[in-house]
Amino acid sequence: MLAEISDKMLGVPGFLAIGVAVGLLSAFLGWLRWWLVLTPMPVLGYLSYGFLSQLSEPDFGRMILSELGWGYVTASTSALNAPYLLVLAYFCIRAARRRGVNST
Amino acid sequence: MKGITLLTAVMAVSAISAMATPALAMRDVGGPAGPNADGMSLYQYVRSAPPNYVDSNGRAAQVTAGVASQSTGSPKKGPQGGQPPAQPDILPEDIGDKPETQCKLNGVPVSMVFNGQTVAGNGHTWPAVSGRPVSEKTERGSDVRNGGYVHHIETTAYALDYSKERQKDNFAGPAKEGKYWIDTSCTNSRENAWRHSPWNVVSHGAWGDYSWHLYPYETNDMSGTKGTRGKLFLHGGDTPGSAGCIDLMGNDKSFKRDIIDEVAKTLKAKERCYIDIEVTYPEKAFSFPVSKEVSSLATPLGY
Repeated sequence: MLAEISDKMLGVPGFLAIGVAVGLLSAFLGWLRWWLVLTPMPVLGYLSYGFLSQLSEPDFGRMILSELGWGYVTASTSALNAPYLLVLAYFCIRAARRRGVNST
Repeated sequence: MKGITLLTAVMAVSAISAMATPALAMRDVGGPAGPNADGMSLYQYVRSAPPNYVDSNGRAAQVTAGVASQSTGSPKKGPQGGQPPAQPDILPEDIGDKPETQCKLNGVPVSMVFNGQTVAGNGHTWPAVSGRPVSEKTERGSDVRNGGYVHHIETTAYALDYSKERQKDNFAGPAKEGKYWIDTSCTNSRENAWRHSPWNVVSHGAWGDYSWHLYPYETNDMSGTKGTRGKLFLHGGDTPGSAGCIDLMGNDKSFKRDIIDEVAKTLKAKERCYIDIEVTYPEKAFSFPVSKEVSSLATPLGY
């Protein structure tokens, strides 16, 4: 069921699709050069900031929370960022392990 | 390489499980109201806030009378004898803080009339619609070949229903007939609202460049709307139709330029004024045609 303003809001699956796409892209970039995995960070930061900034809009933020609740906000932000953070964590762990192997 | 393959698999499984349909998993069927009725989870009840909401028919949360009365200062009234409390038709927070003076242009008060087809007033007219189209019929014009391309005009006729019954349909019907006002000092644009940012490819098309909150007058007959019809906007956008807002389609820019900007020139610093918008519909439904040119690469078969 769509509400009066949320018909124009991207759903959680949509955010997840974007997150997964960025995650896959960053995994590919990281596979080429480990530091390239950092390049999607500003994009995701901008998208997250833009999405969350809507909560501070007069009237509109109240409407989002009234119609979709905090669950929608947290789930959307997580769906957008979690795949990338997983990839980032993987490359960080891999880099740390390699440093460990090299030092021994 | 194994790690990347594993990561890809994990992400794919996450995506599928989040977007699972009833055909894939019975657990996603949820309640009769479908997804997003009471929150993100299909099994969420009254938005996980039973002190604030009731659900009398199992379809959607409604604000309790107690919560609605808190902001008006009247004594709190909770549910009695298991009967759900009456749902206010306009929530107090949706009434808004109306400026004291009405906007004027050339000494004439600014007021608009939305008749389902146009927003008109003070010598201007802009095509506009409200509510979700009940049907869309697309017709294709004759092909015109030009070099390696084929061009034709595609016209989509959007049928809109402005009947009294349709106006009560909270999630698809047009704005209810009655009087509304907008605050000219509260224009949502790319400067203050991300949804209007051209970088926001997700919702810019639906919201357009500008929007204004449509505040309903308390005297409006909002019966049967369960408090949701106060959350409407006057906005632009590239696709005709809305969930109830008045959709100026691509005309939000000229509305801003011809009315809002002109009104702003007449105001002193920090002065506010309002514009009345009367919503009144014709008796019969009508169709709204929108045309666009479609081009495609020509193939040996012609398309």
